[in-house]
Amino acid sequence: MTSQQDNTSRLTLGTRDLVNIGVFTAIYYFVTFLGGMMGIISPIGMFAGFTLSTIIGGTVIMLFMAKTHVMGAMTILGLIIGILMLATGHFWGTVPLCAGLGFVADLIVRAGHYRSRGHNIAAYGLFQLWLIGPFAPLFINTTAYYEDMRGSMGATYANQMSQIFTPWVVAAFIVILCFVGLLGAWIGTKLIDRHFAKAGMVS
Amino acid sequence: MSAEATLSEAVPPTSTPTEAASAAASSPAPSAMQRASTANAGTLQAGAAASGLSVDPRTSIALLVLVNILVLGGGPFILTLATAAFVAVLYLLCGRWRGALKFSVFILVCATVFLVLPRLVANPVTALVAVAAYWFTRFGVSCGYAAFFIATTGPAQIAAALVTLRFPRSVVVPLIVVIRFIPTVGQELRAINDAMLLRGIRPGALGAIMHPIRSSEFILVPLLAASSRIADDLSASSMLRGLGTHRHPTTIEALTFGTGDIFVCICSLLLIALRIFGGGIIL
Repeated sequence: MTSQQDNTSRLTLGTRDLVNIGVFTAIYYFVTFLGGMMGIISPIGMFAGFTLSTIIGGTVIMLFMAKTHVMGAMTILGLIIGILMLATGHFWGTVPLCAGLGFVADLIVRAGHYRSRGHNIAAYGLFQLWLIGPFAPLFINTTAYYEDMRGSMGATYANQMSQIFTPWVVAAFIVILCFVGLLGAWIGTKLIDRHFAKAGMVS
Repeated sequence: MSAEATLSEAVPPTSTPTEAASAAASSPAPSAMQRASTANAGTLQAGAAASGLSVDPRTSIALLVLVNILVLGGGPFILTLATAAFVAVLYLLCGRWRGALKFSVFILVCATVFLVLPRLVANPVTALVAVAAYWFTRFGVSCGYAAFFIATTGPAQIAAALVTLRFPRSVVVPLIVVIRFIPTVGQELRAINDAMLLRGIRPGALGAIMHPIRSSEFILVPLLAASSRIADDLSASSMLRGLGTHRHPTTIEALTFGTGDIFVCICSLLLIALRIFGGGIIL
């Protein structure tokens, strides 16, 4: 039993692929969750935490892509990340968003024939956009929330608050995270070259 | 042999200790393993004989989605409070007094701050605090039910529910692996931490802040190497136990629709009615 994968990419997911998906999803989720936990200290801590977890997650996902050359692997990873986010009380829209972005990432990786570094790095950077999902309730249904605010604090303050709480700060941050993701994925490929390729753990 | 029974059983212990663990401290790993397995058995028993109310895991999963949609969707604030009351009642009916207390106090404090503070002292600072409290209430209710869901629904029950609901194998198997593997990640991290301490490299919070890239490399590389090896062992052992077959697995968890489910359904319908007809109610 070796960890050497066969060199041709397959179309169907075998049991080994499914277990691999589970293991790497667990690590990736753990890393992301730790990053989010830094938000308990302060919102700034959460931004720092997500930046760090995006960089570390880059190595995890790069190794995952190097080990699993199957169409659908990133889709399932995204779907399960979404389900885990839902099960820990985050916004339900994260599930379709994660699965959709995972599918797009899958298509990009496939376009690079599962070998192209550039494609893999781009796929990870794009996939990190899912982090907008947990914040999505701040963006949508703003009129309903405005009504609640007006009921509690009156129209003048409710207006002020709706101006201060513009979600575009969060949106801009997530877009920056995309680029951080590209950097993280690039670091990931370097780490894999240095530690895993030499040891023969990836083909 | 069912898939969930296969995976929730412990993997052969030879596969768990990592290089780091065996080099540094091989004794903590098996004890942690035993603790994990007893905890697992505990949740299984708690799930089977939940004191008081027992709810089918399929109902719990449906309620997880429903609470999320009701609380984080565009419903009025009173709907959030009504959902919070329902979740608190669920905590009480399952005999989780401490959970009920923590949840109720958190929600009550946040909701009171939002509703009362701006009316007592009206200035931009209190308005800002009130907005924060508003969001803490909404996210608090969804996270509060999620915590209840995780505490009362064991991995075997979740697996049984997903299999009965005919979720595809390619989703159920990785999800069960994730649930089984997350404690292992924590265990491996502790072992790597010990190994680094033995070699005189200071990990921990201070080291991570001083050298973030270096320490994440030192932690991440052994973690990934160990995990890849465990993944291989796990897939081999689970294939030996019949996970690779394409048969529809049976389950040892008895899933039944009982009084608890009827109660949950009635309350859910009331909440949905409030969502549909209570749009104009503003506190």
